Amino acid sequence: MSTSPESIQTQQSRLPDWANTRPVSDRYPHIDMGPVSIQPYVSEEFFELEREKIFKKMWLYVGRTERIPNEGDHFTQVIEAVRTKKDGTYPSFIICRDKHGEVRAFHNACQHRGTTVVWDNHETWATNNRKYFACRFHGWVYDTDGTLKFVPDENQFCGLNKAERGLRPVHCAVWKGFIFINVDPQPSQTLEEQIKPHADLLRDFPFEKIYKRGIWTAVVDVNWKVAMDAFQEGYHVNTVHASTLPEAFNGALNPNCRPTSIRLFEQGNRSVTFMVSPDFEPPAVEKWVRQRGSSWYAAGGAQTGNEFPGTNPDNDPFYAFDCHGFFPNMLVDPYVGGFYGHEFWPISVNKTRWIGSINFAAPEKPSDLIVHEHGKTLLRDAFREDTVTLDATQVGLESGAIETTILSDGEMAPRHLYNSVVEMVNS
Amino acid sequence: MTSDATLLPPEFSDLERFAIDWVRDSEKERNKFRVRQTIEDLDDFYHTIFPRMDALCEYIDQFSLDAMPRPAARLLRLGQMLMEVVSAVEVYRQPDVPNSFEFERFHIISPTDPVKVMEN
Repeated sequence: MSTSPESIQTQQSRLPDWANTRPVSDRYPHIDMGPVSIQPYVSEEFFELEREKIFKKMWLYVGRTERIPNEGDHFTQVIEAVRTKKDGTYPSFIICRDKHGEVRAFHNACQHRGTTVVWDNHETWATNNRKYFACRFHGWVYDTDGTLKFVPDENQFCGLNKAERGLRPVHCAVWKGFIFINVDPQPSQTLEEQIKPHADLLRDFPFEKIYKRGIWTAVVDVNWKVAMDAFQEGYHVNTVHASTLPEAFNGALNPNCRPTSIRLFEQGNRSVTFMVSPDFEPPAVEKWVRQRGSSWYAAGGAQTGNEFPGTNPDNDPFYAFDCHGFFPNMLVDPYVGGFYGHEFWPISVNKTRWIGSINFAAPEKPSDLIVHEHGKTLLRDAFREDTVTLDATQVGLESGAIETTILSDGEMAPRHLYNSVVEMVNS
Repeated sequence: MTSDATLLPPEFSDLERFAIDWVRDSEKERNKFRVRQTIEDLDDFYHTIFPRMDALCEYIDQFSLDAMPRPAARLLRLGQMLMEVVSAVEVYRQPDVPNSFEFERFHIISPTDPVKVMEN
């Protein structure tokens, strides 16, 4: 839909006064805007504290319920950061829909001698369906609700009480199809308490109608926070995305792709909103795609009037997408027609497993898949540009050549993540 | 219906030369194929199929995603292939993304499309 010059002027008048103010830090005057130490990005001791005080204490997103729609559907998730000791092996978890239809999570460890029960590759996004989980070592069989059902040669054990040897459950909770687990035996708060600001903002967002269509992953040699920061500021767009998105986000009104608004919350949660450039003239195929109902956020929301409820909380002009930072390690980015997102799984202080994904409403007709493919491939190619900066940043941080980083007003999200982590580690 | 000699519906005979190599069923396969072509090959495909996209969509939308005849499914895959190559042709002017993360380290694990193909 075209936008009249008057309405562009009206919308323009509602943009922050970037020439004369630093609008984000003006809104949060208590935040120290000075340089920050690089130690939280490079220190092994700090990383150990993050593992103990954050990853082993908080609710962590592991997947969507759409991945396990039927009873007996399950996948495994290895979470390196919740290992029990510094150089220990990486624990695996089973996430499943049990025979009663409930979403459950278990330690993937046989209660006979500890062996991994389900050996599915967690890196392929594979979902399997089994009626029972059978251990490969000696054939102990567990029900999908974790109950130990069968032990070969059972009468040869002394004092075996099968009721006490079920799969060890892990706290598991679901919000709008997002499955979270918490490995703390006694979580200090509920999932609802941990994610409340996001749950409030996104209460009416139709997550239940939106499905994963693209998923991409890479192991990157970088601290998890550095990886996350690459996806939660727009300052890099002009340079990093010079090939894929040279003009979509940084036209004359906002040449440095600053956020149009930011909300900072307790416990490391935040929401950032970004705009499209109304001057952006899409290439030929993107124009054709837009006529068929683009799934791509660069098509803009404020101009189309098709934004989903729960998006653009401050009614910013030229709305493109929101970036919800779910503390600690997930971003959920709603836009017009879907949402995309990221997970950042720490492996070591300088190694992270990144997972990016895009989610659309279900296709109604075959050509919808072609429209979706446009947004999917363009976002994927842009992520190839984002990820190229990661290893290179860690190399510099560890080189001894830099003691502090300095973050601008538009880089408030990385600063907020940093401050939140430091506060929690020091608590 | 297609004749025994063609893989696409007869009204898309102009695309028939793409019907073997350029029909790929997954995003991962399409991306791998794209980066192995020359920009001239990608240009040729783009300029041949783009003017046919409205007709292509009209044709495939006669069918339900639950019951796609094989020739229509091949057209769908060709349409998705256009979306795979479009930025390379229109913007990058090279097969892969310039200045990007190593192709081999970046893994595409996208779910399969919700398409059911009927064999004849």
